[in-house]
Amino acid sequence: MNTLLLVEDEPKTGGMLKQALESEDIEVIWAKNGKSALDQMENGKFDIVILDLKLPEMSGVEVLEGIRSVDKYVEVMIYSNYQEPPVMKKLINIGIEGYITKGADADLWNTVEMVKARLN
Amino acid sequence: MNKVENLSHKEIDAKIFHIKHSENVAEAVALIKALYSELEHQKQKAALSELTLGISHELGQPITNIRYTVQYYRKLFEKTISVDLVSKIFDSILEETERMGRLIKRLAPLTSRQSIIEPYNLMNIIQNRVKAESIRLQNLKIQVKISPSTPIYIVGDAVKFEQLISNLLFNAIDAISEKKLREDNQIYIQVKDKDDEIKMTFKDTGIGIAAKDKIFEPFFSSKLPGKGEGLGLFIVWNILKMQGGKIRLDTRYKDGASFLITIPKTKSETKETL
Repeated sequence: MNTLLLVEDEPKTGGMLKQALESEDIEVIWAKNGKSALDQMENGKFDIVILDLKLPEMSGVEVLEGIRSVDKYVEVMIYSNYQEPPVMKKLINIGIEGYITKGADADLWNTVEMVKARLN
Repeated sequence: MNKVENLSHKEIDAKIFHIKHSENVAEAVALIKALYSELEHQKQKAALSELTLGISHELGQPITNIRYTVQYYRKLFEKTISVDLVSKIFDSILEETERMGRLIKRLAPLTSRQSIIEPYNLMNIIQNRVKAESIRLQNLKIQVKISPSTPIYIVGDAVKFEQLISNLLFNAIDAISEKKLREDNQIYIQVKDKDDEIKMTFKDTGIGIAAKDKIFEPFFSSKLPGKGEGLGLFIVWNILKMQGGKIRLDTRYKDGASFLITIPKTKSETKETL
């Protein structure tokens, strides 16, 4: 079974995505802020991380840097509903494997399929 | 609000060099004024871009939630459907639309064009706003000192002034409630009636503000997660801006936060009050 770390502070969004991923036999650990995500990274091994960019206290970039300092090779997919080119450029330089859009284009099952494709 | 600055430091330096070497005082004053207005314009443009980005993010969240809820249950209902669950989904969607509605209402002071300009007693508005919060103030043992007790009249939009006071008051109360040791809690609101402007000091003995340079930016909040959407001071800044007023944080004050506010009196109002 694959294990995924979901970093998302919005309760309903995180809850729905967790349920959908679990229905496809992916184990989901859900961190609601950057600090807790980094704690999880220290203590567990993940096949993939889904990282929301707008988090309380720590920014997505800071969390990504933290994740990369613990695990250089884990797959990280950015999860956001807006993309600022300078931020994206920075994230790509630190190292990300993909981008999932939220907001007006949000598609739950498509997201699940994207995650499954990366895991295979 | 310094993210989108079109004028580079080099260009500003060049303009300052020009000002320093201008031949007479009148020319220097004109150059300073032009530079000031250019910087103000840029500040407004940056604020607008921050606001647009913030709104698209804030609306993106409920939209994601609605789409996910519908997409998840549509698949689930292919197997089985229950009235209870349908009702739960409807509630969830309505809740998200209310959330979008709250954002629109919160931004109303910035978009509303219908304002009634009339003379009002601003001390009266301050006292009424404080009175309306009396339960929270008493629970947190906060003493509010308002001066003077005599009326001060100004011509303007009373509703917007009320929103300005509300936002500052909510922030002051929140800042005090976040303090660990809550002793001798005070909020001071002092108004001075000058010839052509009103000067107001609004200070509290709360936890104070760490990120001083960002506080007037939209969607920036230093409150605990989930406690503030980061629009209060941005709205205050804009309400003042609309009438040529100003607000700044007094960085010398260390016992909490202190805001210094200036509201100009218009010519028509001078006639009214005289």
